[in-house]
Amino acid sequence: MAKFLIVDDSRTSRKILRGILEEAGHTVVGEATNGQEGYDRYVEFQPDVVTMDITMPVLDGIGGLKKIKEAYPDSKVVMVTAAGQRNKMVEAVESGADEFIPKPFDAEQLVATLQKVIEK
Amino acid sequence: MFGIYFGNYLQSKGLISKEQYHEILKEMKSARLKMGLLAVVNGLMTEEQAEQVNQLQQMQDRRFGDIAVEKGYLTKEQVEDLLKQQGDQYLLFVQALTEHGYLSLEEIQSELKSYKKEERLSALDLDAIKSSELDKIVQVFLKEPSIPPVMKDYIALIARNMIRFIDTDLRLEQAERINSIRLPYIASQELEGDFRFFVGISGEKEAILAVASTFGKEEFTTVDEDSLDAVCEFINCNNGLYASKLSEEDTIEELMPPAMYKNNTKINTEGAMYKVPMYISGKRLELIICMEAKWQING
Repeated sequence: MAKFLIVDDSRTSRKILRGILEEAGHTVVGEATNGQEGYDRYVEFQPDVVTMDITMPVLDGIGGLKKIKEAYPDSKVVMVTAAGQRNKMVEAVESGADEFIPKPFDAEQLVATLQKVIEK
Repeated sequence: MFGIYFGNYLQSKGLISKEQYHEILKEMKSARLKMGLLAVVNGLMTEEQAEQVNQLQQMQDRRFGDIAVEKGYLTKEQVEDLLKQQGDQYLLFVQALTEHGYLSLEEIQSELKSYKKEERLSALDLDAIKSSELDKIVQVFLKEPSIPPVMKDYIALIARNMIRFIDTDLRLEQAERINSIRLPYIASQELEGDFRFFVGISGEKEAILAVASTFGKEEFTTVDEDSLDAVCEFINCNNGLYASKLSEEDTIEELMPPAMYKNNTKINTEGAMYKVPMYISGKRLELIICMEAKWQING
């Protein structure tokens, strides 16, 4: 079982994601609402996996991903996307994103995708 | 879908009660089988294939049948056959009305004529509603000539997702062009890229709470930051699907962070803005859309 950090500006998404992860037996060690806060929480909690929403105010998910990957190249960051953010997805891959999970969440698919990332 | 429109008319005329209307709709919901289930029961697809198509449907704004044909699981003919098996919603509704003894066939025919006249529907419009095909029905309520085609596509998409994620009891009313509107609260998102786009959802408390509670998987009782956040997420997911579709046509749209306004918000535009009334289980929502125009939000 892994330790997760959830980075998403939407309370709804954070809550649903936390529910799915905890149901699957994982631990959510922290939450953040933008890329900068996500980086700060990463430094503080050192989670096994980060789920990072792309569209966020202050610093978006790509910015948060870059900051974390730059400081912690071995970190595992999974991007959360509303379908359709293709340009952002390309940028995320180039910035080292480990996987993508689409919104709205499909619990089974999400847990399977995250398991692959954990086992990487 | 036919039952939702014609049933609402009959109810407004006092020809059937609210309870009778809901009873019939409930019966019809259980009569309509899911395409995936039908395909599996008919031995045309495996459960795994149906599940795979369902998952792809979550990520793409496409119909089950279209994805199954593309994957090679079904032929177009098989899809047509399955659609027929799902049941003719018009006939099912008429049958339910007569079997319950609420109205005779003659009365139904007469009321259909009145419905057509009062709602100013053409014969084609009525056929579209009878077909119960959502994409056709949506067009009936987008008669305002200045609505751009890309906006019509968006309204059709959000209607499909209302049915997919929120409530199958969805009814539209005629879209209206406006320049200004004042709303007690609104959940919204802007898109930027090849064109600017604003979409917001407001409406009666019960309707907002229904969207928030169903999509957010949490029982909300007041319209506040948390429930509006859930409505924002619903809009965000819609807009992701919309941007995805546009990108296939080389149109790039980027999603901005969703925003909510709670203090008697006024939206003005120098160009065209549209209000699309949508009723979920009888409660009114208002979809506000603005495209290719400057808008101002105060509140």
